[in-house]
Amino acid sequence: MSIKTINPVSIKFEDLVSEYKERLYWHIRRMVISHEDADDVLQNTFIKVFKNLNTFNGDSQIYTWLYRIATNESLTFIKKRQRTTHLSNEDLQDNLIANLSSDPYFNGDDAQLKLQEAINTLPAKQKQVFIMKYYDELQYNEISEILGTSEGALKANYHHAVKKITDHVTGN
Amino acid sequence: MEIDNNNKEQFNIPSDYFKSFDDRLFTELKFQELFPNKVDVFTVPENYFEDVSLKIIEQNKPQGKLISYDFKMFAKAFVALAAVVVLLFYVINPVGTPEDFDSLSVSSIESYLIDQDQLPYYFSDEDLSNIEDNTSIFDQQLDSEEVIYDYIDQDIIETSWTADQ
Repeated sequence: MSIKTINPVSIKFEDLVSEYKERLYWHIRRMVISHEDADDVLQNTFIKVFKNLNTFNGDSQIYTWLYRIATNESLTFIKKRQRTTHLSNEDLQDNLIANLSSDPYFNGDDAQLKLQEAINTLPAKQKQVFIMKYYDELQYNEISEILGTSEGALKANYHHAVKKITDHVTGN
Repeated sequence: MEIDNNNKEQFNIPSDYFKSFDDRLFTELKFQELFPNKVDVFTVPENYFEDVSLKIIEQNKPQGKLISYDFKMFAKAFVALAAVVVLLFYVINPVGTPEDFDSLSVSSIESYLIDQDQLPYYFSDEDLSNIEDNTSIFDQQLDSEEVIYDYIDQDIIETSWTADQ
């Protein structure tokens, strides 16, 4: 995945939306699972981007900056959902997965459903790292910049995530 | 991270590198065996990305934002200006500061004397005829502070004396 370098002075909001909406959507969608929730979070993400565009100083890649906002918005959304439903994170994830099989915007088979179930049993940090590495195909140095975690720790997180997913799917 | 210095190579490696390597490798191979192809299992409604672009840009219209921002700036500037004007009014013309003689208008003094019915004591017949001719008595000769002060002092003394009676 190529990441563009954009001069912060010349950034146009419409261009950002056009360029990054799909990649950010899929990242958010894998975090929050349902399309409706992903739609809300995507819009919240871009609202935050719009409000803070003048504070982007170009020290990081624009995509890294956008990705960080999207990740934080997704986590905030999940935490808020936990508070409003009074469910633990585990119960909330169970509910999401239970609804996934009847979701019209999910077309995976049983194995894929099992994979999503396994991903959603992961601790938040491992889940983030797994999604960024496996699905979004980001490099460790990019994930490190987004999450503010060392590359060594990210590799360990990813390895633990893959091991847990494999164990979950195989029933070990 | 600890470094293994026991090997004879010039490059060092983390101390637990080879111990964990097998585990990491076989975990990854097992995962790839289970899920050989990455599948996009999530879908979106038709034309979602076209519609969401318009929705997001509509929600965050720069023009609307600028108008809102300008209005806030204008409101703040207006309130600040009003505060400065009020402050200046009290600094330049403080409430309760006694006015000096010069600040009294001639017409005010004239009205006061007429109200008190004291004119005959201080003005000649000629002066009074000038009043009847609607000519201000002060324009001619009674613009002296002393005359006015004398009258006011006497008026106050007489009023006090009457009250004591």
